[in-house]
Amino acid sequence: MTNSIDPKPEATSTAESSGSTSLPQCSGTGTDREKIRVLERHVDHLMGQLYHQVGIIHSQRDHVAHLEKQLKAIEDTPRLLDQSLQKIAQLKEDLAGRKEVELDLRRRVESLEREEQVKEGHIKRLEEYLHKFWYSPHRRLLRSVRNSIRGLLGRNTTESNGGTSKGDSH
Amino acid sequence: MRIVFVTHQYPPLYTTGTELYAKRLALNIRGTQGHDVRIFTFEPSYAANPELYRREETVDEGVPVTRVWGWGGLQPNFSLSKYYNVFLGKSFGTYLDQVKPDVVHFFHSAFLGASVLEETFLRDIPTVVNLMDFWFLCPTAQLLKTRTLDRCGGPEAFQCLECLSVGDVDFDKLLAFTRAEGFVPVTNDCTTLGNGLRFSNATAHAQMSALAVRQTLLREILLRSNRIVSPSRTVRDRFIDFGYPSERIEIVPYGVDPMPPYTFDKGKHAEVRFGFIGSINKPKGLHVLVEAMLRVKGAATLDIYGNPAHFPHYAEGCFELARTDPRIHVRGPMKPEHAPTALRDLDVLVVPSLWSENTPFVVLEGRAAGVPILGSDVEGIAEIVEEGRTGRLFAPGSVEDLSRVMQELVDDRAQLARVSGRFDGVRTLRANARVFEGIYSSMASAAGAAVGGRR
Repeated sequence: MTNSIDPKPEATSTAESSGSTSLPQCSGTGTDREKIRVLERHVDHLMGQLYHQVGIIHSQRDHVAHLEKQLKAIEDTPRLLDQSLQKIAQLKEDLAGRKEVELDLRRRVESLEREEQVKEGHIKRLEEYLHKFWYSPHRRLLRSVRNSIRGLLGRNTTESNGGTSKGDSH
Repeated sequence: MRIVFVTHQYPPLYTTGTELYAKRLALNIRGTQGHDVRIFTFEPSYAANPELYRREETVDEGVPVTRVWGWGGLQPNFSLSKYYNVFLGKSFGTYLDQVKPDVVHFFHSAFLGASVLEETFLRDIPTVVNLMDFWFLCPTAQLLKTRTLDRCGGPEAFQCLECLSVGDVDFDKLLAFTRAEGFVPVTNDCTTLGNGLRFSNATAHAQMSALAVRQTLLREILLRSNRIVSPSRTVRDRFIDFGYPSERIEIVPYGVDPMPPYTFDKGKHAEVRFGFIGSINKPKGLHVLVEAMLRVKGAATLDIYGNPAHFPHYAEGCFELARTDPRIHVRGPMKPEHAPTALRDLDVLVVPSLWSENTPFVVLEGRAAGVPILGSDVEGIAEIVEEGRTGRLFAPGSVEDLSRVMQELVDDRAQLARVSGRFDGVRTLRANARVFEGIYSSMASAAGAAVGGRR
């Protein structure tokens, strides 16, 4: 095995380096002016990065403030939840009370309705009775008795007797 | 000498070519010459809630490894942060001030960004950059259009966005936004001072600007390094095509560990054993190989080694097809140290890549083991596989051509005996390390002389 690879022959001279080649080399030691230029570019880029990172820090800070607000709201949540639960319980009690009142009122309405029905029954019966009485023969007798009483009492009995009076003269 | 290697990721979590090469070279240089080699690497994190920044000091097989992680969101322009990240660059600068290396060797700057190279420049530390792929030219590093798998003639912001949007939610959203009626791109130049603010945001214009100026900025940074090293002529030529000066890029081929020699014995096995070892993704072309295998008649088997987890949909598509033929065996992921064993059990290593490749390590290892290579006729493979001598080549992406060559090998097994065992011409890792030691020494002494001169 030899110690060199075998690049195929070529027209131009591109001989392998033996290490201490006489090929033109860059000195690698740039002038101060070149170095300053490189350093300025570094500073330029680092400043750019720095400004960008500062921008990010500011936006992150705003974001942190926003998150803190949210956190505060989250921390308040149990208290607000308790309050809400209490309110709900109160409302439930109120609702239960209102239902009882409603039931009581309903009962009273029903009772009044029953009373009304009873009274209507009475009225109906009275009306029937009155009707029967109005057209009965006793009615004329009763009226003459009444008129007689009135005459005795010295009261004028000119009021109509329903067409049945013969005109008392005294 | 104290040498720092820089990579985009490192074992044990990541074990693809670049990081394994860096690790093996580090162990070699450290072990044989006693140099103090250290690793500085990015450590990609896919955690649900990643940290903003982390740096860890670890030791891997005796080599100090510094692993950094930086959250991409620190630079809101994700197009820019993928290749230029001053924040991570400064982290590397701090590391350099602590370690004080004589030389820094860059293997890959993805994830870390090219700003790490600028830190060495600011400190006058000699640097060598290995061009492991086309990352300095192309954001996906392959110069291959991701959707169509066509070769990319030259990165252009909208084409880059099109490629990056495959499988990436952020880039996909950006692509949809830029396609909306009324979008007119306004590009700025991030190499120009005073634009830092304009780039440090996630607006579509800033992202597109970052894509538009990527090549310009990376070229400026890369050309400032002392030595630029290409592992192959293929990679070097592509950089020259993109306007890099040819005299600045030298070729230092990869080295691989010696493998136990293998020679095909046609009487030993009843069948020809084809094998695939590598990443299971579309550009590597496994689907082409599976389809070709289904057409091959006769005594042949195909073993597939690779991790399906990285591109599960693609892998499942290939495996579903593979399950229709009992001759195809899906072996799953393979540990790097098992490569010699796996190669010994193969008669032909198939490398069906669709992209141009640079210098695939698996081909070098196959060649070092003397296993014949059946590879796509793309530049990076054709450069190291000689047709008929160390292997066979076929038209990239062509199922017909690949199945034809496979059938030929099955029918004429004498061919395999002729091309197997040709492991000459592959550089060993030791030899490769010696070349780099020479490079480091010459750079360090030149830098020392410069410092002495300034005094």
